[in-house]
This record gives sequence, C-alpha cells and structure tokens, in this order.
Amino acid sequence: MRRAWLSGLMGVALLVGGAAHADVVIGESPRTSFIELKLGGYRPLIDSEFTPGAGPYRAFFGDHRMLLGELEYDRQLFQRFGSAALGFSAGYAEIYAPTKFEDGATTDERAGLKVFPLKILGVYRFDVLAQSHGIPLVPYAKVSLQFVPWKSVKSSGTECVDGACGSGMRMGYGGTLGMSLQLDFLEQRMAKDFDSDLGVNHSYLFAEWNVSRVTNFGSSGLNLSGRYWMFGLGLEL
Amino acid sequence: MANGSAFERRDLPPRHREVKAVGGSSAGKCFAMRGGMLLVRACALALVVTAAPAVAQSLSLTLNGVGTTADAGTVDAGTATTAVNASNCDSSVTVTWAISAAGTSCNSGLRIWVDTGSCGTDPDDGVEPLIQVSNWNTQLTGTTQLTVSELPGISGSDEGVGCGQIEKDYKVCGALQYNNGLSGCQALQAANAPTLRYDGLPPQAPGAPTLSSLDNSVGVSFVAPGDTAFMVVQFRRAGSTNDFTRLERVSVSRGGQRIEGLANGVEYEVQVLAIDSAGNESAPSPSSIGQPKVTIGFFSEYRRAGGAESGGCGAMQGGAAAGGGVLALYGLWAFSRRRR
Repeated sequence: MRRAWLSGLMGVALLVGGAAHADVVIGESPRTSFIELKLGGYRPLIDSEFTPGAGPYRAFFGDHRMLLGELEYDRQLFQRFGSAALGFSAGYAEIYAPTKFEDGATTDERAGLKVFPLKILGVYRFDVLAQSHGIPLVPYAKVSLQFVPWKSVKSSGTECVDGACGSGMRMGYGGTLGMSLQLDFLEQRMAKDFDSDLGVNHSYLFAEWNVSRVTNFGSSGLNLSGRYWMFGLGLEL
Repeated sequence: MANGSAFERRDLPPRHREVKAVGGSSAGKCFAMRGGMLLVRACALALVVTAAPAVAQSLSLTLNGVGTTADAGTVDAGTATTAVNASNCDSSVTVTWAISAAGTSCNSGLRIWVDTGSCGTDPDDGVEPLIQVSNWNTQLTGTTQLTVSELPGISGSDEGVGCGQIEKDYKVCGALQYNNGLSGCQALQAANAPTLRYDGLPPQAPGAPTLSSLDNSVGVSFVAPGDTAFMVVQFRRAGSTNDFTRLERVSVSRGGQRIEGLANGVEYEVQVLAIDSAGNESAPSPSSIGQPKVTIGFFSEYRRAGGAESGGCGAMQGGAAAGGGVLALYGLWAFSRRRR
C-alpha cells in the first residue's frame, strides 16, 4: 500500500518535475528547488468594507468559501542553516450562486466571482533537523507580494453595473506559517530511488496558515485579503 | 492447382511420404509436414492457391448526396438510414456500389433495385432495377441515381401532385451474378441494404414553451413531441405583427435554449417548432409570453451595498510597477544563475 502510494507521488513528480535532475548520484543529489501543489478554502474579506451584516459576499454566496488551488515553485538560494528560497506561485478560485430579482427571489441564472492569485515569495524552511537528525518535520515561513486579478461574471460574461465592470486586479502582501511532514521515512529505499532516478530529494505533505492583505496597500475597493488554511504536496528537487 | 489441388513430392525421403495430398482445407495435413522446411513452404503455397476460390465476393451499397438544400436529408450512420422529405421530391439520392470479387460477371450481372420489404438475390416480380450492369468486371464501382418521386407509392400518395404526406421505409437492394470457375454462375446478395426513409409527415406541434425571466434574456424550456430530432425557438415582441426571429435549431437533448439580447421590461412572444430527421417542420407551438428582468449578480450586490470598487486596476499602478520590478530582478537573477 505504501509502495503504491509512493508510486503515486512519483507519478506526480513526473508531471510537475520536468526539470528534475536525472543524474545518478552517490548519496543525495543537490537540492535546488521546491515545488508545491496545494488546495484550501479561501473566503475573501470583501465584507470588511461594509458594516457588519451588510456585506455583499455573505449576502450573495452565503458562508461558502472558494476552493483555491495553487502551484508554487521556489528556487533555493541558501542552504547552510535551513534553506531560503525565492519563489513564484499562481492560483485559481471561483464561487457561484444564483442571481436574484429585485424582490430577492432567485433565478435560473448563476453569477460568480473568480480570482487568480499570483505571488512572489520569500521562503525559509527550517530543515536542519530533517537533514541532519532525521526528524521528518520541517517548519517554514513565507512572505509574499501578491497580485490578484479578479472577475465578477454573469451569463458567461463580465458583470457590469452602471458603467462599471466587475473585473480588475488588486495587490497586496501576505505571510504564511506552515509545517511539512517529510515522507521519506515511510519508504526510505524508494525515496532514495526517487532521488537517483528523478532527482526528487524529498517529498512532503504540508499544512500552512495564510494571512494576506490585498487592498492595493490600503486603498478603497474590493478587499481580497484572506485568512485561510492550505494543504498540499511538496517535492524538493 | 486450382480447386482441391494436390501437392505431391514423390522424391521425398520415406519419413515425408505421409504427406501426399494437401488440399485447400487440409490444415491438419500441413501440421503433419513439420520437419522439412521445403515441405512447410510448399504447404503454405498450396493453401494460398486453393484458398483463392474462397476469397470473399462482396457487394456493398451506400446512399449519399440527398437533394440540394441544407435540410434535404440527414444520414444516420448508426442505422444506415437516409431520410428524405417532400421537399426532396424532385431530388435524387446517389446510390454507390462497390464490388470485390475474384470471379467474372455472368447472366444478369449486377442489379440494384428498391424494395419495400426485404432484399433477396432478385427483384420482386414487376420491379424494375434502377440499374443493371451486365459485365460488372469492367465496372467494379459506380453510381446510379434514385429519384425520390419515383419511389413506389410516393407520387400522389396524398391524392395530390408530387410526393405525399406518408412515411415509408425503402430498402436499396443489390445482387450480382458471378462465376468463379468452380460452381457455375452464382448469385450474391449485397452485404448491406441501406434504408431510404421517405418521411413526408411533419412532427406534431410541440406544447407551449416554459419561459424564465433573465437579465436581458429569456430562458426557454421545451418538451419535444415524438419523431423530433431538432427544436427551433422563434420570438418577437409581444403584440407585434412582424415576422418571428428564429434562433439556430438545437438538438432535442438540449431541452431548452436562451434568447439573448432582449430589452428588460419588454414582453416577448415565444414559440417553438419541432423538426424531424427528414427535415419536416411542425406547426408552431402555442405562444408563451416572457419578460426579461434585471437580475442581481455579485458585482451588482456589491455596488448596491455601497462598494467602492469600480473595476480595472485602479490605484495600483505604483504597486504594479514595484511588483514588475521585483519580477524583473528575479528573472535577471535566475538567468544569470543559469548562465553560470
């Protein structure tokens, strides 16, 4: 079962790790980068622009979160005590709900909000314990500069109201704290083969807490800030 | 060496003498020959030669090129049925034949005809073939035309002139006579008999469509009557005497369509029509009246709540420039690392 599971990881690595090193190495191959694929429930803090209870996000979408998926690539710059990296990530999330008539009755039509978060990241992973002492836990922290294109859609087009159309881009910053579980200990031999064959040094499962402030640095308008958990799979190459 | 040909090697050593005659169906005898490469080859040759008379003779027929208009007919590949309607009365269906045969033409050669029942190797009494090719060896493929109005029972079937309002299936049959030099002249029926369906009956008119009010549009739901392949939605402003505007026809399986580009608050009269696979169009359904209304999406909700966002990139130009600068630096750095 574990073997099959790790084989699945290798499959993912083949998909996302095209740039992986294929060199045959004695010991561990050089670690240069990190790829993460993650999912989480993101609810933008749009309603914070309004008085409590009068927010349009909750009025339209209820308490539902958007399912956010992100792909991140980090290039490691420093590995002497933990590892520091510069990275980039791209994501996508959407949410839909029925439109309403003036009297509040719902229609057969659906409208939605889409966001495409792009981040430039600085990343530090405290992997000293995992590298030197075999403790498979790697805490990490990230800071990010964020660009979030967004779009409000209705009837397959951008929704426009009184000459203003619901699409644009917001900018901001954010921080992340997370914990990774290095999976090598589950099947060490296969992990080494994974490294020698595909250049994947380590595989991780991780959970991270994200806080972002996406308000164009305090200007008025759509507040796409958020506080949310993300979970995913990471490969160190 | 032809039929039942024998292969004999009398000069073989005794251990091979057991194989004397190798017939076309004597596979077992071939197996008995293993041990001598020369004999194995000879067996293979004998199989090929003696199998020659068994090469499948075949005659296949296809129908195409129905009429000249877009709705003239449709071909259902699954049932190999070509459908035509009354508007195709003066048109022709092209019947293409293809023969694969090793024998020679004999007697009546190739005949293609139309039958209202099942096909055989000869037309029914009194049925004239569409075409007869006495020496098909010189014409293994070819075409002939089948005029719709000449189908049996079509003309005047509604006691009028031209093709009538009936629905009938016809089989396009074919058979050829061939001689393979073994059994004399034999008849071979076409491997397939494509169906030509004359459908002069339009579907019943559908019921009135169900409409839903949407923003600058109306949603139309319909229930198709039997024998319907497509539905067409048509609309006009309620109370108008102008012609209806038709939307593109849609497959019955869609179950509905949406009329876009309407004005909110204005009433529209909407009808649907059914079209069968032969292109016959039903009478219009009873009209339904629909009225597009303003609907509120998320951005409308946001703006109505007093949100300040007006779209675009707003006041973030400075930030974008900063971000772009960071990205450019990162790209330069990654590029320089790669060069090293």
